[in-house]
Amino acid sequence: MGNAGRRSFVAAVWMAAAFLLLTGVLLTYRERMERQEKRRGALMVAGGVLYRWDGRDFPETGVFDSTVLVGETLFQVRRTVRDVSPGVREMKLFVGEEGDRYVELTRLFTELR
Amino acid sequence: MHLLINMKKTEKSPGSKRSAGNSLYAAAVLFLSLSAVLVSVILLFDFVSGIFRDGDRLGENFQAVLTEESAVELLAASFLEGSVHDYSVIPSFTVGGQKTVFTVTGTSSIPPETLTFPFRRDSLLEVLPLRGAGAVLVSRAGDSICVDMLQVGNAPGIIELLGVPWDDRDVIGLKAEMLDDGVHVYFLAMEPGGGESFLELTPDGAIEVSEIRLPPDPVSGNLREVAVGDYDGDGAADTLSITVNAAMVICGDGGTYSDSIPGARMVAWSIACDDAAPCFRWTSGDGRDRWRIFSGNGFEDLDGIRNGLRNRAGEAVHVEDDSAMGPASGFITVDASGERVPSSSPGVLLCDVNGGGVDAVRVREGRLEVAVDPMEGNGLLVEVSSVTALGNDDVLLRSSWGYRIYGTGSGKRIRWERWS
Repeated sequence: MGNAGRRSFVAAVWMAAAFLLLTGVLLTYRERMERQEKRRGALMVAGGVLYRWDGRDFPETGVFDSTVLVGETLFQVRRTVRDVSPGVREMKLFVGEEGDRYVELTRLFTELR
Repeated sequence: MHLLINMKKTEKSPGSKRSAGNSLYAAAVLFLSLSAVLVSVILLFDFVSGIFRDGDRLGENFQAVLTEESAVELLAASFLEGSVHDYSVIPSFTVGGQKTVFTVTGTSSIPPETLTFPFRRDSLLEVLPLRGAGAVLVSRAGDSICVDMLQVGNAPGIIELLGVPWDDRDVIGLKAEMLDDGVHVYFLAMEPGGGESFLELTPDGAIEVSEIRLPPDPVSGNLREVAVGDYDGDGAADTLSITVNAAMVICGDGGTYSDSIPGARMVAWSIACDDAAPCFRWTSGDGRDRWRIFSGNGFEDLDGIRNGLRNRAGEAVHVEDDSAMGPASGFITVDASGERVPSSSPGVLLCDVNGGGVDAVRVREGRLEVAVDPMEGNGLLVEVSSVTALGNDDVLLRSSWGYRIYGTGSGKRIRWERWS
């Protein structure tokens, strides 16, 4: 093998190493990346749900379930509203997939609304 | 010679030296390359981890916004219920595992609340209050009579209902009324060739001859209030009309009674709850008060304010320090600085728009201005800064807020807004 052939071989080894490294990173983080994307989608859904209470509505108490389709992900949305003190209600919002909650948010509301 | 031979033996050949130098060079290059790769790998992992950290932080920041909004609303409720007595000690609130801490940065007195809306009308003719839910506005705009709905409360604004052409007839009396099918406006108009006509503007925009015959305003041409009730106790409906300078009762049997006091202005009026008798308070130029009552067959002097007076809405009537009586109809004016002036300023109509007391409504420079409950006096501005944090040190959000507090007791109202 001449010098040129050896250098090509070394370059190929480096490229393979780099490819393996990137593949390793990708494989390492793939699951987290997917979860991250779903978490962002869930936050977007949560923002849409909470936007409704930017006005002046005082939410009703109870447990409310619904689903929202974002892309290919079907998010399950659960909203629980309860009285925590006279005139104050707590709304908890859970967004996730079956058995997996990506977002859990809490907001309090008063009768001023 | 032997020494020379030994020296030659120990001396390396030039090719061997070059090979050693290349090896050293190669090792250095390899080391540097590996270092660069290692650093790159570390940076790459750090970068990717940073993306995930930011992603995780996004959720915390989202919750921080909600925590702050919740805390701001809870603080407003605390102000409203009067649980904050000392502004140096105001509560903090924990929501969703995060805590918002408030600090009062200043307090100051502010004028009564004024709501302002774009309003392309020339002049306001009548304001019909809608039981605290706003008012119907009747106004002139060029050659048209316009009817609009003023909404107050959580979603304040003006809704245009009607705009109908109006000819040269002068409006000398006007009354709006909300019925089941919408707003009816009754006019007493002066025909161009002389003579009066009674007209009705229906909710669908038609102008018809009215069955309700409004009395003329004998003095100012500005009818301030019309009420219908059985004031003489004969079972038939009577019409009471009030201007700044006169009160008039047109009885169902056709009898007409009017009352005015030279040199005095009517500053307030109401209906006595026990016998449905209209009562009036007049103030002369030297500030002396005179009370009058409609007794069924004329007007009589009344010895001071009658106990148990109630206004048309059934609310208890009280006497204010500047002689306005009751929330239903007091003839006060609110000037630009918010001062309460007992006068009959044209263009300012008084009625209870928000259900909390007398409000002053006027049109100025293409806007409708509503001074809300100006009789309460000035409001209070509380400036507050907020810090929302996860734990003690991890600050997520800093903001500043302005709370405007108006009124006292059950009439207390609060508005707040983010400043930064």
